Amino acid sequence: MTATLQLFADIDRLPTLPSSVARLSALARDERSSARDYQEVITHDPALTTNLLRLANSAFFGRPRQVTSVRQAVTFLGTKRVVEVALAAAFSGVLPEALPGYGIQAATFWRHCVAVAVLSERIADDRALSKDCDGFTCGLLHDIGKLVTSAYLARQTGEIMESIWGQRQVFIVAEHQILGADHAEIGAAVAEKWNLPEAVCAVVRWHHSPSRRGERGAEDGEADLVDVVHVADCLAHAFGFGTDIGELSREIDSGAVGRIGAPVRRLEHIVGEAAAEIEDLSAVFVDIRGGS
Amino acid sequence: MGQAANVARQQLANLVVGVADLQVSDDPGRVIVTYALGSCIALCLYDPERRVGGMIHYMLPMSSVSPEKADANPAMFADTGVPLLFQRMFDYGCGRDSLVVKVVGGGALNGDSDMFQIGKRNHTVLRKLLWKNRIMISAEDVGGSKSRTVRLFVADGRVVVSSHGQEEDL
Repeated sequence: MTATLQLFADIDRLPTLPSSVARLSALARDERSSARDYQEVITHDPALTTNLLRLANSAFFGRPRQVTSVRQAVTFLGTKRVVEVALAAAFSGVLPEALPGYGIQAATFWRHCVAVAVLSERIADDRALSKDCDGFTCGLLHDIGKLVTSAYLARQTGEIMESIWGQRQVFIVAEHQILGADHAEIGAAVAEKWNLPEAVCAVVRWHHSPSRRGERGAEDGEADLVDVVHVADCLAHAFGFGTDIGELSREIDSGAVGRIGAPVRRLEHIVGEAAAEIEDLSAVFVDIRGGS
Repeated sequence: MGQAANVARQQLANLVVGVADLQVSDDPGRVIVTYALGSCIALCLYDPERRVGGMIHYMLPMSSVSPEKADANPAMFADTGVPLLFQRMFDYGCGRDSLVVKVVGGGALNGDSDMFQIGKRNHTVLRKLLWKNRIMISAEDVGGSKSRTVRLFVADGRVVVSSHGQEEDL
């Protein structure tokens, strides 16, 4: 089996998200579901309940008082937010201790994921993208492919470093050359295996090259979540939220920036507003995982 | 670095400057450190006579994009944070003319020649601010697609910049 095929085969060895997350997503799609249905699914999963309450009490979700029960969480946050928080709680639970191929510990990876989640949500709101768009979840999960590619890159750190710093390749191009596939392609396969919504699969697949999808390419047209997460990812890296060995060796897609149409001062405003929330959600992970 | 120096260095305690944060210290046992500067900038000030060091890690050039944030946390912006860092140094008795000024960061993503340019503007605003106040920069390591970690040794004012797994004195 070639190394590239092995990479795809390894997707099956990744831990899956708890079944309660899939059940919550199903409830979210079912118009007849009630708050009580959500409570039942969550309370049957003790680990999810604990982590959900920790996240629900972080300043990011801005509750005026302590949320102590699942019922309160569902009432205060609303069912859409509860599904997002549950997914974040479940995701934090399946992360390995470290991603050696990217030279980072799990806490740093989480910091990057929550930074992109918070920034994506704020950019999507600011640009008045449809309310149905879940910028938070798409941003949170955009790099799931790295959970698979990390182990392979770890064996070839020297080649990666030579490619990005010696030959000035952007990181994802170097990754593709060395592995035969990159974390966006592998991530899309992971997203399918986890039965994530189509919008998340598209974001994971195209977050490094939003203008290369289908008929995309021009700077006109409406921005979508792929564009939003791409810009959020660039901003998160530029501001050092979860820096890995690729450092700033990444490209900004001018098409995506054009479609989003936010002046840089507006993006700066968004980053400034989001910074404290990012720190706050980063710290929750340390609580959940005991500082790993 | 010799073995003795290594041992001495291990005994030093880190004083971490977070993102949008500043710290000042006159404790020679401290190393003021900030991690993963991308387009953000670390301004390092050191008074060799009084052995006082200070560092700010600011994110954005101008507080006008978010005045409420600047009220809550002036260290987020160059125009509100840099004067505050100087003020903190003056509070320790440092004189303006005795300060050694070093600047690190202001990087950009590879393809960012004409899009965000936040790092470049972070640097420009700082230079203008210092120039207006007739303060000279003695050394800087800015720009490029690097992520930098900076350490300022309070005992002697040495500034060490790490990037790509290598470190250099500035």
